[in-house]
Amino acid sequence: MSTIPIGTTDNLLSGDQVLSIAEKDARTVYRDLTIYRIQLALETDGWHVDYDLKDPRLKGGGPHYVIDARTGAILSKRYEQ
Amino acid sequence: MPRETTPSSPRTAVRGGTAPHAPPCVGLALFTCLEPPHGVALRVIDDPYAARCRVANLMEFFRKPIRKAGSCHSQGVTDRVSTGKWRRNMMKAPTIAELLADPVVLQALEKAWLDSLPEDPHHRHEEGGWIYLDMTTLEYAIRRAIGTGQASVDLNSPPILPKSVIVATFHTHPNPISEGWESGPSASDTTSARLLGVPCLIRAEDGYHSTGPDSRRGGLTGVPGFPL
Repeated sequence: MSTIPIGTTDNLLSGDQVLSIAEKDARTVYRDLTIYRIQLALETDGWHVDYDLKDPRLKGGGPHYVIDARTGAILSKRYEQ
Repeated sequence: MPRETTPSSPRTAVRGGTAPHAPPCVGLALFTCLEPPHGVALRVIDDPYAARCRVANLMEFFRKPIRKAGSCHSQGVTDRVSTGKWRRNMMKAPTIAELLADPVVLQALEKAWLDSLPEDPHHRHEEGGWIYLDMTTLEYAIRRAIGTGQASVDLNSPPILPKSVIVATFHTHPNPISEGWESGPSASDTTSARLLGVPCLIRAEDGYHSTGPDSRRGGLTGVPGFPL
């Protein structure tokens, strides 16, 4: 896992690129992604992509990823239900 | 996001389960021979449940317990405020542990689990519903929601049952751990349970989980359906 020094953003994947990586995996696991709101954040350990339910009163869960900001490798993922 | 989970084995829970239904009314006869506390007027109470609660409260006032702790949902909490006025009762709602020890609740969870088709990778989906407590009979009633989502279920709009309040929701997590799914409550499960104000019970492949408040917010008082 690569750590991103503060102030260094060269050669990092863009949010769009990371989102497509996450969505490719999410679509293979979750049949419907329309009920989720996506949060994207660049942290020191990589891009965090979180699928959270749009309606906070619904029971359920979505996928959560940490993606390497340089290579695009999925470093960790959680499938909530 | 903090999570609360209480996994337990279904088999263990079923084997050790006992119905926490309230025993038959023992207080009605006593009610007439008790003198009310100073400044409190006795009223005729037609509703047997309300009468039981009032008697339990009076007995507690005189420090003569009439039931084992935790055996009755109508265990009243009374207090005399500094002004000497009688404080309104807050009747205790069943806790998660009490709910998961009740055969009616367990049967509902198992039925929902089977209906969620956990063995079918193409059609498995979440099922769920609501657990009501009838305030007159002190018996549980179950109503099911329409479950369609693979990883979500909408329990926001429960039917209203007369003389009943919702004491918990329940749903299933049918997606398997072996495929990377988490069996316990999601962050949304916890948030939702806190918003709705009742415990959230979950049946998953590794047993039962729960999250949210330990019992209905505000006790058995308030409006039918979810607490305000």
